[in-house]
Parts: sequence; structure tokens; C-alpha cells
Amino acid sequence: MEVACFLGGYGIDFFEQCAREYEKMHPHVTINVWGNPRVWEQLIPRFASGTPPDLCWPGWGINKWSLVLNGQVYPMGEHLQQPAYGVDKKWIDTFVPSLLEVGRYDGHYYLLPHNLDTFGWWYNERLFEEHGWSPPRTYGQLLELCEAIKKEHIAPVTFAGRAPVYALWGFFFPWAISAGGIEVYNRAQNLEPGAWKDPAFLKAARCVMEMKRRGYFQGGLVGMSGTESQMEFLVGRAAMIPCGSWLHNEMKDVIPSDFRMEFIRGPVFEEGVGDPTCMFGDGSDWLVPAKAKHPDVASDFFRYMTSPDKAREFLEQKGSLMCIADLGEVKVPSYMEKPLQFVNQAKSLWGIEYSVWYPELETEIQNAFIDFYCELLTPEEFVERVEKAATITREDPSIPKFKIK
Amino acid sequence: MRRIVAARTVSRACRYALLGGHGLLVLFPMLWLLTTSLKDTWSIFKDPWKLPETLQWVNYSKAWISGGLGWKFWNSMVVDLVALTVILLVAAMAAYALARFKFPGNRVIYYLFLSGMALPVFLAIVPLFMLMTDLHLLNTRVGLITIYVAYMLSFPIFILYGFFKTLPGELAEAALIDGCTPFGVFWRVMLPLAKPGLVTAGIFVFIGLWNEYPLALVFLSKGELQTLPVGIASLTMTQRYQADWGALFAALTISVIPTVFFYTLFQRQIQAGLTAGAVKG
Amino acid sequence: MRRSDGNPIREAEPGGQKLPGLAYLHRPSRLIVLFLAPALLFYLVFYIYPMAKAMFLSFHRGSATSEEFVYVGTENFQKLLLHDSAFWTSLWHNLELVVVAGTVTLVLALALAMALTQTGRGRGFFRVIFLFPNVMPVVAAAILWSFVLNPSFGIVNGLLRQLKLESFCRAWLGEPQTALWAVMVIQIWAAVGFYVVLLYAGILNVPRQYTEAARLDGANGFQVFWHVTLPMLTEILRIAIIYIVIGSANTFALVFLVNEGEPRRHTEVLMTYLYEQAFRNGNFGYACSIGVMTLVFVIGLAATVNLLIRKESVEL
Repeated sequence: MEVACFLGGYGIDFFEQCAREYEKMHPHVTINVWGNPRVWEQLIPRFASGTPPDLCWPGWGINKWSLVLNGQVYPMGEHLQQPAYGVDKKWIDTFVPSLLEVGRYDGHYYLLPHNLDTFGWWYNERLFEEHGWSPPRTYGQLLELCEAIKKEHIAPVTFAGRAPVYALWGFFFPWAISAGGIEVYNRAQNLEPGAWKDPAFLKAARCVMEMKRRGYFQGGLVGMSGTESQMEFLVGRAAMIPCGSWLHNEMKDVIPSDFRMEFIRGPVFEEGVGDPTCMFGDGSDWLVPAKAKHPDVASDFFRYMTSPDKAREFLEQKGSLMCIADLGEVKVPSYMEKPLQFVNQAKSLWGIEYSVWYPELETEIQNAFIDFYCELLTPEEFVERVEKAATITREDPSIPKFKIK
Repeated sequence: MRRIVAARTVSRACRYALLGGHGLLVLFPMLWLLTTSLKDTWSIFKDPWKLPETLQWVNYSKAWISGGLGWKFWNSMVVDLVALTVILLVAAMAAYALARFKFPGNRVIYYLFLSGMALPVFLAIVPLFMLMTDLHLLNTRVGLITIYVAYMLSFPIFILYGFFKTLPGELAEAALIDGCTPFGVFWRVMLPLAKPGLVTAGIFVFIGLWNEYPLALVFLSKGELQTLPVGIASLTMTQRYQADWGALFAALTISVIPTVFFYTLFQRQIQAGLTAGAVKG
Repeated sequence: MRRSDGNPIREAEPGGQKLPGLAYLHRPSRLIVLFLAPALLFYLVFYIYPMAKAMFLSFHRGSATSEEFVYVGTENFQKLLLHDSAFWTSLWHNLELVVVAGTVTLVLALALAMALTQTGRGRGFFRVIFLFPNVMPVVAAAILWSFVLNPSFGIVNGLLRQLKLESFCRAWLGEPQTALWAVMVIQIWAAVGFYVVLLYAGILNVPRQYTEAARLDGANGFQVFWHVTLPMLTEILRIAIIYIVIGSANTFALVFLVNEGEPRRHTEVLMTYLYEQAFRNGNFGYACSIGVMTLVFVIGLAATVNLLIRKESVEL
């Protein structure tokens, strides 16, 4: 049986370990696990030739829903009804329901989540202690803090300009959600007319521009990749960085031993109507291809991987949150305490379903953001451009539509 | 007189400034690449301008082994040498037939091959992808070699056509009188005489294949089988995930050295070939 | 020179030499077919057929995994030409690359070639190193320059900081305002060597009598260049320009790698957009229509260039 994974901050050694354990449990099965940071480049030809792997985590560079709608993904409905490994429940009930819903279409479950990434702001704890700064909770506090940091000739905030999602997930969407509530965001995801022009988005854009104009974003970040901006943070040239919960894992080989960082929710608007505990939640999408040679084994193996015991192990080893609920007492690495706490405390989670449904729209939003950030567009023009792209997507009959319920 | 001398000195100074300036522009990034490849990631970020304190040769072994560059190097060698051999053979045969025999459609076929140099390759990439999928040649070395042959025939045919055309006919006749088969005429008489053309075409094709990226990206993306350019590109994106800039610089240096070295060795032929190809055309 | 039977020896004529009647063991026609077959097989099956099919597919909709392609008439072209700003942006960028980068490349190459021909010392050295950027893989050049232009550790910004010109520091490849220009710089850097060699050979081919006659007539260096050398280079320049035009549509690796494979509209070119539509979004039919329009673009450009140059030589 063959398993193809996206090779990212968590590596694939855990999956390989699971494979070995599974093989011991089922001696007639051999599992080949492999991974690649651009695994989709190798998956596309495999799907095209009708010889896909048995289980895969395709990553973000492939249009998964296009696969689903072309009948290339195995519906997992039946398998989910089976009992889970290690607990007295059906497999389907071990997942966090809202995260399972993401992969559902037309009544069938196609994409299954495994680990959960969340997003927030990391700050240089030692630097903050030295200067007596406290992490900001509100936008107002953020502005004051940035002014103080700037005086010390340190860049207050940096992010990966080459990957605008860091900005979108780190503050643009959270600020819109804070200003107008999660409904504003979900209306936009549903491509409702005028949704992307909502005053909440406009306010968020204006705040981004205000921060930029005041010089609170690191110069040159537009040319930085994820790891580059993270290096700037580690080297101490930037004090805060919006980043995912994978930061520690991704940079573990270069983090200096005396460096301390802590995780906070991104600052929100004090007078905002949105839920201040709302956290970003993006589950990894795993799928079993329709033309897989061994869909049953693949499904069973995945069921093993997502059993609460293995999930707990993954959490403790890799420091990643999981989409499997009720893990009981977990011993998280210290840097994951806060992310886990915030996710557990969150009254609601928000995700980026639209970017998986409409990749072309996502591309346009990212490009528009870059132009906006570099001041080629005013905040008004920026939201207008996004709205236009959303309209084109909505009115294009060849693009299948999805809805957040 | 003095004005002329002064003007000459100024113009000489300008000339050397121009040449030297461009020379610097060419060499400086390459030298920087070399020196930075011997630094560790931390100092690359902290002090980009400082020369390495200790030479981190480990970067190179990391790039070669865990980056898999050794394998990619080998893949490139295999694919390119096999493709080169096939290309030269097939092109020589076709050029010979076109240059030395009169038959209906000769001109049309010749221009058909030539047009290949002008058409953008990417136009055909989608149907080619589908074709290779149907033939089960996707992600195989054989598949990529086949594509390389098809796409690199035009230039050698063009060069060899010119060579074969100018070879005197009496040699062929003499050989035939001696009882040589027409194929033998080709193989034993004409082909050796066209050696300079073969060498020129061969060098160009090899360098072109060694550096080729888009086709290899689409048709041979499987990790273990990747050619060097594809491997380096994907390594860049990998290393970015694993934040090992030192090894990344080393990998890049590894990829640059072979062709630069090879070119320096054969630079006279290459320079001659470049101009021949254009001037003749 | 004559053969033993008194007939003159003819060189092979274009279109092949007609060998006077000798009996062969194998008919030449069989040899011709045998010799042409492999080349034609490879070429027709893997080059010509896909090209033709691409034009066919551009009128259809489908993806890598769809079972069949649906005929949609000119829908793809309508969407492409009327509604797709990304396409026009890409086209415009290709045009900019050809015109601006192409011109700079040629002018620089001409200047360098002229300087080379008039230099005695070091000529060989320069001739060797100028081609270094051309022989290294485009992949390597692209990645190298993305490091050189890196805002954190790149030497360009580093140099600016050393010279206390911090305010000029930019994210050269990241900012929309500078990105395309930065790409052009890389393109010129990687391409100019070839044209230097080409023009150098061309300049050396200009017969000495002309330049010397002009000098005797009192023309200074620049005038000799402008009125004597340059016109004699017309043919070579035309070839060079055709190379540039044909190569312009093929720009892919440079832009693709500079953007790390992500679609970035501020440096998008036709080929990267085609790749995105074909292999990221799975719109095979649409991607083919982009390919067809690219072909139209190249042909149009080449025809325009040919027209302009012909006018030049007529005026001479």
C-alpha cells in the first residue's frame, strides 16, 4: 500500500512509524510512505494516469475539489461508520464535528482531517521582558507597543511578504472578523454580492495601511519567504511575527538555545463585535483516491492514524493540534501550551474553506493584497478588486459553488 | 595630435571600464555564491558580508547526500547522454537524406524540421502530457528522453544539413564503386567527414539538455528520477522549509560548476559554433 | 576538376545530388525512407501532433482527470480575451521583456562587442567569462539572483547598506513596482553573452577597407561605427532580434523560480500563466487556448520585426 504525504514542518517520520506499527498488526500488509514539500507536482501525473497512491495528503498546490468533482476521490461515508481504534465509538464520532464538515460535499465525506494548524502571533519573550513590554491584546495597545519597539530600532512586526496568506490569516481576516463578526467572513466565503466590500473588510484594510504608514512592518518583508521572515524573528531583527503553530517545528534546527518565544492571539478591536476568542483552524486534508488499488487498507490505516492514542502521540511528539476530539490529558511541548489553550477556549473557529473551493479567487486575493500592501491600491480599491474577483467567480457557470452552512 | 592621443586614452579607459564593469557583474555574484556556500545558515543571515570564519564544507555533503544532488547529477547524465546519442544519430541520418538526395517533399520536410526551432514548446505541453500519460511514459526516463529527442532535432539537423551539403560527391561515388552500400557510404565516409558539425551540434545539444527545466519539470517530477535543474529548483523550496541556507548555496554551486567548467574547456568550439549557426543561417 | 570520364564534378545541389546511373544493391529511395523515418517519427508524433492537438483542444474544456473533453466553441477564447486580466497582464509583460530587455541586451552586447574588437589585452579572458551566465542552467541563474536580490542577506541590499544608502534598499523581487525590472536585469545578465559573441564575429567580418576608407575621409570613431559598421551588421542584428523574439515567448524558468512556483501577477508571463492554468487549476482546454494566443503573439511580433527591418535595409 502506498501513502503519499506533504512534507512540511512536521516531517513524515511519524507516519512512517505508524506504518511500521500497522504492519506489525497486519503482517500481510506492507506500507510505503513517502513525502515531498511539493508532493502535488508528483500527484497530478499519478491521478492523470489513473494510478494514484492509496492514501494521500496532497498539500495546498492541487485543486482537491476539482478531483472530488471529477470522481477521483473515494467517498468515506461507509468507512466512517466503523468503530474507531482504541475507543468505544464510531470513527466518525472521534472527530471534531466542525472540522469534519469541511471535507463534506453533497452528503459524502471526501476529505478527512488529521492534524490541525492554528495561527496567531509569536513574540520574542526575552526581548519583551528586557524592555518591560507586554503582549498587546487590542489594536490600540498594538499601536502603542509598536511605537515603543520602533524606538529601539527593532522592526515591530514582520511576516512572509512572499506568502500573503501570513498577512491574511495573521491579521487581515481576524481584524475583519473582529470588526464585523464571523458572519461577515462567512458571507464572503459564500460569495454573496457585496460581501467582500463589507465595512469590516475595509476597516481591516485601513488598519493594515495605518500600521504600514507608521513603519511598524519590517522593511523588505515583501520579498521574504516564510522561513526568511522567521529567521528575521529569530535573529532578533523583528519583535513579533504572525505565524502558524508550526513555527517551532519548522525552525527547530536553527533556534538558538537561549531564545524564548510565546504565542498569543492576534490583537483584536476593543469595540469589535466579533468573538475575541475566535481562532483560526485549518485541518490537513487527507483523501483516498477513487482509483486506489487498496482503498480499504488505506482507510483502515488512516483510521489507525487518527485513533485517539496515535493522535495524542502526534500532538506530544510534534506539538501539533489535532482534529480528533477528547484526547484527555495531554503532555504538550511547552511551546504548544498556549496554542492548545486558545483553541480549546475558542468559542468558534474560522477556516479558509473558500481558498480550497476557489483557488483562482485565492490567487487573485493574494495578488491584490501584495499590490495593496505596496500601496498601489488604496484600501477601497483593494476591497473593490477582491469583490470584483468574487463576482467573476460567482458568475462563472463552470466553477462549482459551495456553501458554508 | 595631443587631442587625438587624449581622446584615444579616454576611449581606451571607457572601453576597459565597460568590459571590466561587465566582467565584474558576471563574476561577482558567482564568487559571492562560492564564498557564501561555505558559511553556516546563522551567519548568512546575521552577517551577509563577512567572509566565512570556518569553512563549512559540510554544506556540500549535506547538499550532495541528503539533498540528493548526487542522484540528480547521475540522472541528468544518464538522460542527457542517451538523448544526445539518439539525437545525433537520428539527426545525422535525416540531415544526410535531406542534403544529398533529391525527392519530392524534400524542401517541405526540411523546413518542417527547421520550424521546430521557432515554435514555443509550451504550446504543445498539455496534449503532450496527455499523450505521455496514455503511453504510460509519464515520469519515466525513457519518456523524457523521447521528448528531448523530438524537441532537440531541429538544430542538429540544421547544422548537419549544412555540412553534408558541402561534402563533395565524388567520395560517395568512389565508395560506391568500391562496393560500399549506400548505408556504408553514410556511416564510413560521410559521417566522419561531418565530425566538426557533430561536435558543434553535440556540444550545444548537451548544454541545452543539461540546463533544460520546463519539460523535465512536467514530465519527470518523480523525486528519485529528477534531473539536476529540477532537483535544484525543488531543493530551493525544500531548504526553505528546513531553513538550511548554507546547504542551499552549496547545492547551487554544485549545479553551476559542471557546465561552467565544461564550457571553459571547450570554449573555442562553442564560440565558433555559436557564430557558425547564426552566420550560416 | 574533372572525373575520369571527363564529366565535371558537381557539388551537391540543394535538394540533393542526382547520382548518375549506377546500379545499387539497395535503391536510394529505401535508404531515404529509412534515414528519415526515425527523425520524422519522433518529430511528428511528439512535436507536431501535440501542437496540432493543442489547437484542437483550445476549443474544449477538460482537465487531467476528466474522462472526456467537452466542446465549447470559442468560449475559452472569449473568456481569455475579454475577461481575463491575468492573460493581458502576462502578454504585456512578455512584450515589455522583449522590447525593453531585448533592446538593452542588444545595445549592451553591441557596446561590449565593439569594445572587445578594439581591445588587444585581455580579449580572450573577457570572451571566456562573458558566456558564463549563458552556460549555467537558467535555474541556477534565477536562484542565484534571487539570493543576490534577497532583502535580508542579498549583496545588493548589503552593498546599499554599506554605502549608507539604506533608503534605497528594496525587496527587489517582491515589490510589484520593481519586480519585473529585477527580472529583466536577470534576463539581460543571462543572455547578453551570447549576443556579444554573435556581434563580435559580425564586427570582425566587416571588411577593413570600409572602415579605413571612412577614417581617411575624416570620420571619427563614432561616425565610423554608425555609418559603416552598423549597417553591415544588419543581417546579424536581424538574426539576433529574431532569436530574442522567439525566446521571449519561452520565458518560464526565470519567472517561475523567482516566484517559487506561486502565481504572482506582477511578474506573470504567458508561459507561467499557462502552467498555472494547466497544472495547478487543471483547466487543460483553457491552457491550450493560452498556448494558441502565445503562438499568435510570437508570429505577430516576428512579422512586425521583419517588416521594420526590411524597411531599414531598403532605406540604406
